[in-house]
Amino acid sequence: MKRVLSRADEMVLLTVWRLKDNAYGVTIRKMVIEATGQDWSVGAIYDSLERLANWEYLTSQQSDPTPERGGKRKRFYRITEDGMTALNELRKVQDALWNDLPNLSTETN
Amino acid sequence: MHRPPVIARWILSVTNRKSNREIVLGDFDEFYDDICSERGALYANAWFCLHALKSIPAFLKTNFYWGVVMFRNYLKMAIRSFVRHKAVTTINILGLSVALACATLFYLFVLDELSYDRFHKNVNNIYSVINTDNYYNYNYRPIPNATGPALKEFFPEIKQQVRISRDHVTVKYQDKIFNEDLYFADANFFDMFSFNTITGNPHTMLVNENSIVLTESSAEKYFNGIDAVGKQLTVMFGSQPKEFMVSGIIENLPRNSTIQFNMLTNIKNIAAGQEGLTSWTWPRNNTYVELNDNIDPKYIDEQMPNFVKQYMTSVIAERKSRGTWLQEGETIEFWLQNMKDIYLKSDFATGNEFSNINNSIILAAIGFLVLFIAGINFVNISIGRASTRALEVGVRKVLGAERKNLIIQHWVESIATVAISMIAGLFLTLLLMPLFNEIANKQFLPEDIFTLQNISVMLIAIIVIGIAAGSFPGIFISRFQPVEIMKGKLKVGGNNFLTKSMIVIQFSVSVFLIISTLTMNKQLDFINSTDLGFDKEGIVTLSANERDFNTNDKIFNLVKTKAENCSNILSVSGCIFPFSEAEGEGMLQMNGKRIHYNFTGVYYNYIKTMGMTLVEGRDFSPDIAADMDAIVVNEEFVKQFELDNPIGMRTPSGSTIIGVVKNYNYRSLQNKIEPVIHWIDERWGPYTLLFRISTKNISGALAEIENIWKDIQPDKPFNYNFFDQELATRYAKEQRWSAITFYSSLFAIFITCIGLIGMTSIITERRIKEIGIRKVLGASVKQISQNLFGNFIILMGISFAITFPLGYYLMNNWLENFAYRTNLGVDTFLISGILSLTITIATISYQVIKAAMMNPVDILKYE
Repeated sequence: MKRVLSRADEMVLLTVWRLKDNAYGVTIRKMVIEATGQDWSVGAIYDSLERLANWEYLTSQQSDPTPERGGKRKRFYRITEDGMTALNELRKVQDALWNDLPNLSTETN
Repeated sequence: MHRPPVIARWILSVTNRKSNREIVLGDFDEFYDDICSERGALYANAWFCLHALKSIPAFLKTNFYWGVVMFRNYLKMAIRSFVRHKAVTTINILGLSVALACATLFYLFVLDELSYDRFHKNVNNIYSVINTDNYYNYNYRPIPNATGPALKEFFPEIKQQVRISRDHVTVKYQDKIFNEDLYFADANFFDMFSFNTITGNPHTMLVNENSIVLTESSAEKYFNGIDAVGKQLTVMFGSQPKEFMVSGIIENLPRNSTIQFNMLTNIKNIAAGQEGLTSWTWPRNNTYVELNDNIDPKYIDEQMPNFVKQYMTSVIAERKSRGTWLQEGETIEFWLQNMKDIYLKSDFATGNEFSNINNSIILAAIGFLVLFIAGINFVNISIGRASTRALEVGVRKVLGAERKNLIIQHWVESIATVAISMIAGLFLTLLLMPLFNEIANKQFLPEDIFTLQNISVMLIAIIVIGIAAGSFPGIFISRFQPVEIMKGKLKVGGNNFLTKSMIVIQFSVSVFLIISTLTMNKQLDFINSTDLGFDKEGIVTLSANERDFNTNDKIFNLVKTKAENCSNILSVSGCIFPFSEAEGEGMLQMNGKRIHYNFTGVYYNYIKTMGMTLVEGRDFSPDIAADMDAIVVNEEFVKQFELDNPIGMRTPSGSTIIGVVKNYNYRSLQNKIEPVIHWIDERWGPYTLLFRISTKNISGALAEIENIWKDIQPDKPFNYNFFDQELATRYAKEQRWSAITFYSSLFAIFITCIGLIGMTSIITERRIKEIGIRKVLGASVKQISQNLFGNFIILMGISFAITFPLGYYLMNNWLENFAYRTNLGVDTFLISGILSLTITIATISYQVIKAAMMNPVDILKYE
């Protein structure tokens, strides 16, 4: 099956990369919301995270319990080599498509 | 610091899989705190709830999908295991289906008992008025006729009242003549009671004095099913004919109605007439009242003394003046019994009982016990076979099955077993139904089982029994550690304390039922062989009524004269009331004592005809005029009043004692003999003619009696009875219970035995190598058998130790019901012990001997 990254997947993957060591549910969603200016539901983020983890673009690791949220563990995500490759590929495709366009306009002459 | 709603948090934690639960909840707590600080608690709560709700659909979808997948797998495994272990499956299904058939029949019985009179629309408001004589503590359902209308007048809370009376009459239509029980009721009968009308207006069809309402079957009987409304029927009240017009046809009365009749007419037609309807003493009739909605019957009961004061003061005064009836401390009391309780809770009213709630309780208990021991079989065998299933359990556990899943798997398996057993059990139920109908005195039809209600109950029963029986092995087996299973270290079942104690329970139930059966049979034998004080063989009874007869001479004298010429009729007599009911009862003050006694009106030659023995004095003689005022008493009378020389003594009312008859049991042997007075009753009324006939020529005697009857009563049917057969019906109840316990014990023993077969095969299989080694080392067949039998015999011994004292206590309690009772001897327990031991040993001996006889080489060669 060809793995097609949706827009949400791409955002999440990028965010995890940017957040480096501090990428878990809450921070990821916060950053995505800040970047897009839209309200993302928690489910949408979890969905993408799970899918990306299944594709092995992300690995996850449970933290040790910290007192900050009532001793509950967090699941930290980290981007894998495959994830990086996929992001790079995506960027290449986009760059190629963006390349020749002089400016942004609805007219395509 | 705000907290998210508890329910929403709970939903979130349930819908997320366990491994992710903590993390998701932690994340959500953070989100919540953020939103809370930004936009306030209200918005945060709404947001949280919305997210929680959104998690539900996916959760359900996943669960349902995997549920179906796993269920199919469990079912497949169950069927595979059924097929592979045919013997065990057969034992389980056989035992359960027998038990379920038993339970189904008992359930039908209880359901039927509880359904009595419930079909009346207003049953919750309908009450039967009971009269209590608190001095004797006697309760009567028949109350004086004037009471009903007076109650309605006195209590505005009473909506309506109905009195029901009955009489023996002869009914004629053209050439059809039958003796009938005609019933009489107030005109609003059909307003109070919900019987279905076929033709006629239920509100008006009893209003006319000469109208008569027939049931479908009696309309069929007289008019061959032609529309009968408007037709004329002649009813003979004795020799008085009266014309009635059929005003309505109703459906045959439901079997579960305590009110039963075939013909009903207005109460104004009763023989006692208008005077009888307003009497405060006699005649008495069953009276029902319907209260308005939401009236507490207790309130009416509390007001009853005021009612009695207002209406019955003169009655009480009159009785007091006579001095015989109403003494200090006696009052007349009335109270209401709800119609729903009439059938099951009327044991306060002697002679008026229909059934008893205890019957239902006992049957339900037996049904439950039988089901329980079949369940024990299932559990024991499942646990006994645990080691064979252990590998499967181990593999499932390794592949990630949780304990929950394994228990559910066992549930599916046991529910499937119970469901199959239920289907087999239903076939068995249909097969046993005729037998059960006979011994339980019910008329169930196959379609009675398959009502919507019963089917739902059965489905629920399948699931409940399945889960109950499957839980135990499920919990037990799912506890195993996979590693131990795989290593083959596991040793369980068969010999543990639990299995043993369950076998003890099974033995105990069976042994207890055997003891009950034996005791009941012994008591019945005792009753049948007890000297009743009279000779019940060779007496023919015939109902007669002085009213039916239109000459100046008494019917008894006519019969007597004619019988003198008949060679097969030895003597003739009669009694006013049916033999087993005393005509009346009262308190008698004599010789400084005040004692309860019965009195009964008889005809000449009574003692001779009944085959009773005179102890002192003589019988009544038609030649001595003074005998009209003489009495014959029984021995108990002499004993209780402590009369030294009874002959010639006078009672306070002036009667002279001319004879003392040996005690005889006129009631069922459940009752003690009470003092009885016999007197010559020459009033005109119904009575029973008694013929002592020659037992050598019964048909000749019957022909002679019929001739006499046809001679004096040409237009009356000749309906005779044999006295001993009539008496036998008195013990029908005891006979029924004896039969029910007999069959129940049969079932219980059967189920226990097939369970034993299963257990023995499991135990011998497990010990087969041990047996082989024992044999190699020189053990004989006898020694090995003894060893194997020993286990079970010890268990039997324990169950004897439990059952014998318990059985002794309970059966003694049962015997207390009888004034004349057999003793619970050692023999009962000895027989039940030997019987159950023999059956047990016989059941397991095949497998034990097979195991003991085998050639050790066959088993040990694989080692």
